[in-house]
Amino acid sequence: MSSSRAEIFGKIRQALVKPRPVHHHGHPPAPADLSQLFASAASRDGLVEKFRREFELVSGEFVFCDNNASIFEFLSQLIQSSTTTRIAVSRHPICQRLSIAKWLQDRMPGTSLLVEEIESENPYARERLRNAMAQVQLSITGAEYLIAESGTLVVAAGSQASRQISLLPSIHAVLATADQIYPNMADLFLEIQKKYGAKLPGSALTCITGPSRTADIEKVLIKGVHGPTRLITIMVG
Amino acid sequence: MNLTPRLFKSYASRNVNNPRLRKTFRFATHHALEKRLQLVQEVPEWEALRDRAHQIKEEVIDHLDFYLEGLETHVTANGGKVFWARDGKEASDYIVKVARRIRAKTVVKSKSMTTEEIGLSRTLEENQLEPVETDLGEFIIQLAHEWPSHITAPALHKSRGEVGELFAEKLGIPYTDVPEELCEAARKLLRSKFLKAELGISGVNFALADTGTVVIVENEGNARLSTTMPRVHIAVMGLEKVIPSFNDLPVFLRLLARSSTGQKQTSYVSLISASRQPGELDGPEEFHLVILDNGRTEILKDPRMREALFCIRCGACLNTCPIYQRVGGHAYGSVYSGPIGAVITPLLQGVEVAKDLPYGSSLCGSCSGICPVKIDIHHMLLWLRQQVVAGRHTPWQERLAMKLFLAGMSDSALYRLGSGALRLAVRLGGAQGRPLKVPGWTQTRDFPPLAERSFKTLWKELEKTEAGRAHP
Repeated sequence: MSSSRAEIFGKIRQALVKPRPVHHHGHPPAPADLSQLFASAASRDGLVEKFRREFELVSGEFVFCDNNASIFEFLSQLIQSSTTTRIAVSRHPICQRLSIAKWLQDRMPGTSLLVEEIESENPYARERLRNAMAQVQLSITGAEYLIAESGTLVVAAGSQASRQISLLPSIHAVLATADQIYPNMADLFLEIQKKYGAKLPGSALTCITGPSRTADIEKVLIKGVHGPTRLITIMVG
Repeated sequence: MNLTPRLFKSYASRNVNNPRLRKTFRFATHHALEKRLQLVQEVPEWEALRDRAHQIKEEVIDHLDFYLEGLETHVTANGGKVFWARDGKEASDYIVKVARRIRAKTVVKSKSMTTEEIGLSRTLEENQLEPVETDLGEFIIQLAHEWPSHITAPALHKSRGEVGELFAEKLGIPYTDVPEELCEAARKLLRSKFLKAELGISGVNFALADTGTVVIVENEGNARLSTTMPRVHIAVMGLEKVIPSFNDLPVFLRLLARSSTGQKQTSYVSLISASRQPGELDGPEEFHLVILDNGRTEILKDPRMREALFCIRCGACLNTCPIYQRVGGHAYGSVYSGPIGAVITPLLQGVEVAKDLPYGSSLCGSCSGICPVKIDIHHMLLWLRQQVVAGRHTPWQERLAMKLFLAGMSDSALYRLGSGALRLAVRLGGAQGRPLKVPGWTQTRDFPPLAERSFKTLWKELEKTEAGRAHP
């Protein structure tokens, strides 16, 4: 126990002996129930359409693919139109289920493929992965959850995906399914808390709402500052 | 300009007379307010959310020791290291010590008001480290050796031409004033820094006591890179940033981006609970959380001022403040500007140093009306004025005038004598019907012309007429 810690806690406890004054104009008690505070965004009807609308409002690109053929058609067009040669694929279950890596290997011979399959406890392997990822133009990953109210994708760091795969490449394509969509953040967070308790999954959860952006120079909106310039949701039907 | 609130009056009057600056701030603040208003109108629960956020903050601040202990316990259980810092120097020294141990040279920083408050970059430079601000706005002001003029848009005061000249001079690129090209130049340079930096430093928007998670809200992705690429991540937070629970976060996240930048959500919200875990493919090897006091427990001591610790640094009160819109952020001489800055700065640095800041307000209450956590900002400004007066930090002439005013207002004979004398003086000076001039006072205020006859006289005359008698 450092002396600074003891001193800070001492000061806090001493200060809190004096109660906070009752507010002179008062604050009406607000509902402590989280869902009530999100009531206007609680409907479960048309979640895919709602997500698409919000996602496009934040400059995300949305595509609905109801079979494997249409997913691959979309990807091959994306690769060609963006003249992408270096692609990374995460080991997210949805990428594995759709055999994205295998398809790229077989059908996109002109591209080099980075699969996040490394000995994770070997620092040199991690260093190599990181250096390779810095060269990637397009990454294909899966989402954990989606939030309709704000058009948000939630990704988790773990053994199935790195943190950097959704960050370093200039185009990030995310595979998702309709059953992953929650109406709002409150519903999702209550669900996560029910499932994981005090120990959140992985070291980092990230909510992604549109491509990286800035308006720091004269409020001019620029997409793609440090993270991806393009963010794509591929809704798998 | 120097970073001191002592010069607020002279900075403010200089900035008020700078048309370009006023245009810049008018445009930027109105732009943000319009976007905010549009989104707020779409949320019928807005007021309930504000009340709830206020309640959660009350709960935290009333039991601050309990929640800080919870945070410490959970961060430690997740494998992180918590460091308690009484002041900026202790925090900076600790960070330098960590940097030395890991032999760091380059330190990437994401935007953080708390590290601005303690002048961390300067300390790092003095210790032969290379701190790199990676938020575009912060990067610009770091190159220009300035301080932020807005809590969320630090380079608000800079025009594209000025940024172009700055980049040409400091980065050696050909001059351009196209924002996209300037952004690309910064991106390229900063990407190389991210890849070679050994240490990443971030701020904290919220720290969750029940999970040991720090939450970082941003748009550019530089905070994600700063907390992902380097071998060590140090997060620095003021001790008031703790909130009780993971499921309190949605309340604040529904309020914050709408209030701040007029977005439903910012591009990235990172919830970081630990360093890289076994099996994970990347992320830092070490996670440190620096919890900073630096005057905050002093604010806690005064129950009337405790609400200042509720602030979530959204910047909405700056945007809506008629004074901020006209004098700009630098006038406040502190990294915290606008109405909330005028509250926090005197509390952190002392009323005697920042005695003019509480007067930098029309007390219109627009700040309190817009605050997403319902901080009673304008009343706190009034209470701070009380402290300025009680501490005898006002000019002696003003104190004397107020004493005379008090005497006159408490005694009708004295009042008649005083106002009679004043009327006589005005008449002798030939100043009837014109606004009075009082040196120092009327330079920035109006003193309305004195009525030729007092209300009492007028009333007596009225009583003598028919109309007066009809209504006894």
